[in-house]
Amino acid sequence: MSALPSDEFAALDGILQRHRHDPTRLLQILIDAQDIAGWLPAPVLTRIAAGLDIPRARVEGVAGFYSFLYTRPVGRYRVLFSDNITDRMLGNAELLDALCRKLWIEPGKMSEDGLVSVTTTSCTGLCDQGPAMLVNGQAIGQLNHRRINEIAEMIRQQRPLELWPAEFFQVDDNIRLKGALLGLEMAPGEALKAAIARGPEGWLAEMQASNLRGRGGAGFATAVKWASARNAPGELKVIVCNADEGEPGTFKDRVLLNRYADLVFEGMSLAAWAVGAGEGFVYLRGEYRYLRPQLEAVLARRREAGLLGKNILGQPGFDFDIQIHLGAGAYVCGEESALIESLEGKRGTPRIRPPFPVIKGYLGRPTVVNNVETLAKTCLIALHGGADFAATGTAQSAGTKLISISGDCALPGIYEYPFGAQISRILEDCGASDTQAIQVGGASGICLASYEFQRRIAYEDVPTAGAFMIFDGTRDLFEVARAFIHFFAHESCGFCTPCRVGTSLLKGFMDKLADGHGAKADLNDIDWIDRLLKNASHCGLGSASPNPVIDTLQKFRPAYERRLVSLDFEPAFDLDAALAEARQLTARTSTPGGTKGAGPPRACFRGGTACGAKGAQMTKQFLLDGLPVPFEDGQTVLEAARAAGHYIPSLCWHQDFPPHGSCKLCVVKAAGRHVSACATPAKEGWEVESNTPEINGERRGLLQMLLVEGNHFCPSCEKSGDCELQALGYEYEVLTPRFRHFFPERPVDASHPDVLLDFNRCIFCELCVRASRDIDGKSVFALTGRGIDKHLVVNAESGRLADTDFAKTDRAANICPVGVILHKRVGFAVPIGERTFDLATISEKTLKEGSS
Amino acid sequence: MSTLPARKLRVATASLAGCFGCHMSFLDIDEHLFELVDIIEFDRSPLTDIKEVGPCDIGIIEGGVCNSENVHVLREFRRNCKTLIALGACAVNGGLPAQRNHIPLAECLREVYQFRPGLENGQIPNDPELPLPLDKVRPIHEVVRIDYFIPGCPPSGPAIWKFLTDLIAGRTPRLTGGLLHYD
Ligand SMILES: Cc1cc2nc3c(=O)[nH]c(=O)nc-3n(C[C@H](O)[C@H](O)[C@H](O)COP(=O)(O)O)c2cc1C
Ligand code: SF4
Ligand code: SF4
Ligand code: SF4
Ligand code: FES
Repeated sequence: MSALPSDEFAALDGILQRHRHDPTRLLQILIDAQDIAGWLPAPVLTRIAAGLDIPRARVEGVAGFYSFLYTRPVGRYRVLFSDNITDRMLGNAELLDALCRKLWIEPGKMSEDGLVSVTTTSCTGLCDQGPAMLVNGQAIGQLNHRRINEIAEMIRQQRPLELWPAEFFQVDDNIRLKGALLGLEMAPGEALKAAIARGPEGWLAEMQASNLRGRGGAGFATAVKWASARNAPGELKVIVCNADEGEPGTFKDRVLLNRYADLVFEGMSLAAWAVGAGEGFVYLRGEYRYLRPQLEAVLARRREAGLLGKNILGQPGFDFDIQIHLGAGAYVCGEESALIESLEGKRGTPRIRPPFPVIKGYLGRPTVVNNVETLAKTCLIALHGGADFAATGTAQSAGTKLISISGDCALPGIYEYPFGAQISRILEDCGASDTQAIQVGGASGICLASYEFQRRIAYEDVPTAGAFMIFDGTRDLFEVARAFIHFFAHESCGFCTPCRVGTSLLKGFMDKLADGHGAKADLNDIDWIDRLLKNASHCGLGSASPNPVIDTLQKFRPAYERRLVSLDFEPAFDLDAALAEARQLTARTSTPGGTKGAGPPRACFRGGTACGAKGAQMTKQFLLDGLPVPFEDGQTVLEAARAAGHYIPSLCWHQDFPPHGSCKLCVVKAAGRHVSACATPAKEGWEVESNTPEINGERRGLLQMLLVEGNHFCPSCEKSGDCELQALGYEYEVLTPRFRHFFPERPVDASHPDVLLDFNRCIFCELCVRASRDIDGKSVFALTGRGIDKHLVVNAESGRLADTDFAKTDRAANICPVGVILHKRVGFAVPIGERTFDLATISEKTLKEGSS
Repeated sequence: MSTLPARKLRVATASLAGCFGCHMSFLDIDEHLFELVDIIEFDRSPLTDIKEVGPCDIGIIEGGVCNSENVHVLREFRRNCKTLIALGACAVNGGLPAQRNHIPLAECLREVYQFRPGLENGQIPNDPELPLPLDKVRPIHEVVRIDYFIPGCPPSGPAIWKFLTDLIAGRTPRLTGGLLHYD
């Protein structure tokens, strides 16, 4: 281990102690540890792993997931320009360039003296006062050339942030229209007193009567969520306030936390009273870290006032307290199950649901996750009763909604409207004119053209989590969609095939069009990727990611068509530029035939209770492609189908492990909805479609994505003939990779005496990770990075397999379905032509084994 | 074959960044070659002396795109052929030559022409007659539109035969049951 200065280690040990050496606090520890040196050198990760007694690879896996954690050096001044479309419209690119020029640096690269680095980040939630940036986590809005000059000067003089002009860091609330919530003046504890007086059941009944639905996007009935958690088995229950607010263009939670924090915390206590929860978390997005000190102060005041802690307001046994957890730059952590993973100190990967968090959430405890605004609104219900709340709004949407308005209008900021407000009225109120389109609900929302402005904000018409971005007649809607696709590709967690590869492919196509290489054929490919994303993604991020493209292609198609240079086909790259290096190396200018004008160990996971009950009567059945398939309770669609002799493909599923749900090859349509057959419990009477042209076409698309993502050159791969990816390619007649190849640059590790690792062929099924952790008890492997940059690492600071305790007899050494983990010296022991899938196709083999 | 075309189909073939293995495999269709010449005639192809491709029904490309000349030939084929087919692993996904894509071109050329043991005063060849190499080797479908793909390294004679007979008879070509191979 390379050495760190001893005082840095002392500081690190202090941090570990403060967090009680608790591995669930890993993310918080990494955030604090990064404050020591501004980044996380390898020895720091090693020390943290030792301090928490967890595998180093896991620490590296988490550190590599979050945008705001750095495992490579960054400048002492870290400048991140917010890169939402609204920032782009206000000229952030020009300001970024100007700052880089003044500091003599390149965007994305640290200055040689380690002083400064400048790059972009996803929307920071200052869209009403952009262009905006974060400097070492502190937000600065209203950037202009004058401010940039001053900032460059202060950085050059190395002036500490505390000495920068205070007005730079002033964040305005910009509250433009107050309704019931923003106009509420309530003494802390008043709502809680009213709810306590009603008793938990009485209080829940008021909630029921209010018809309050979640304000975080999905619009789920809050009382139903609370009641489920209340009734779920388990002593310890948890309330989480989702303050991740990552949806581009949304900033109403920022204002609530800044100005109305008491309402938010009181809402959490109200939820705790209803549910019987003792523990509360605020998951605060890293971008809002600057709010933390004042939030801690409010919490301290509430503790002093007896509104948090033991026997709240003198109510015996009402114990509840709240702690703040910081995020670190990951939009997906707003998705409730990813948020919970992150709270547990892990990578923010969405879980398989069911079980839902209200049944099994944080550390397996029943957990309510609610949006900031949802929680604040419950104060109104406690004070004035459910019926009063339900009296405003529309039939299916009770109450008011906070809207964050930005973009082309005179008065951007926060507006509170009763549900049912018409878009045209909102536009008028904020002083928008010549409006061409608006994006409601953020990047994953909906794009409305001017002929739709009579529509209304409500769950039954235009639902929204609160973003409202306005584009006037001068804007190019193609560029709007492109900005959102860049956002999704950057934020994809990389867990599932369609989103990990699809968002990057889509980004490639949008850039191709933007660069002037577009062709009609691209629009077909875009449509196809949109469909795979919508149908096969694991979570809402992936399935919503094509929305901006789908909407704009429908409503603003000419914005795409005018970029096409060919009605047939164009390469994505400039052929001339591809020759530039060779030209320079050979000092030549012309080319013959030139290209001018070119543009748990052994546990049974065969579904919950089913294992022991093999001989039991199976009375339930579903229809698979019209044929009856019997199943036992708890069996998944995939297991039941295979047991009945019907093949459903899989790559990441393995009978010795719980379902993973990442490859999505097992996609089927059940009762009209796309689901993963490996992770979905069978249901009585379901009609399931699997072997249909539609579904098989989608499987082919997913296989093509996997084949272009890695570097699969079968003729030189020892796994050829034994490889499941290849065998599925044959099964589904994949003749062409169709998409552009990524040609990733992942190193090969030949350090181990017995085993070779060729990471270029990894499909991220995590079978090696799971086998090493759960069967071998070693945790040799972990995933790190995010999205298309996700990759496998081994449990050693050196990064070499030879420096781990890996052995060729490990289960993990013998489980990879593709050609990553290869035993040395046996490569061609079995000749081509006599290998596994030469003897039987993968469907034949799977079914034969299934029935034996 | 049931539905024979009225006139002979004109077929052109070329090998770009490939090893001619796919062409050899093409010849491996043995006695079927005689059947084939009854219904097709060759335009530009290593099997003929024709140097420039003319209007054709079917073009068959072996190998990926690694230099400016490959680009030129491929475009000429696309311009002249109604149906263009990628034949073999290199055409389909870059294949062996694309394994250099990890390495910057400069490093590649210097290693071969300047630093290899036994080379003195080696120089990167700059004869204007030589086509310039591209920064990366590309599968042909990344350069022009391709209608059909026959994977394999090389695809077997029977696979090629099955594919072509499907195509000529007007059926969408399929490769199943052992005829489809990536290696
Ligand atoms: C990719 C993604 C990001 C999300 N981000 C947020 C967020 O930042 N804040 C939020 O409250 N809900 C977010 N959600 C919705 C949450 O999963 C969850 O539905 C919500 O927090 C529930 O609270 P509510 O019922 O009060 O709306 C997100 C969902 C997805 C799929
Ligand atoms: S990769 Fe899958 S799980 Fe991860 S964000 Fe995308 S859709 Fe969700
Ligand atoms: S891992 Fe499978 S698909 Fe990839 S190169 Fe090897 S044999 Fe081919
Ligand atoms: S190395 Fe193999 S087993 Fe491990 S994640 Fe990659 S593909 Fe799966
Ligand atoms: S998602 Fe991989 S097999 Fe179901």
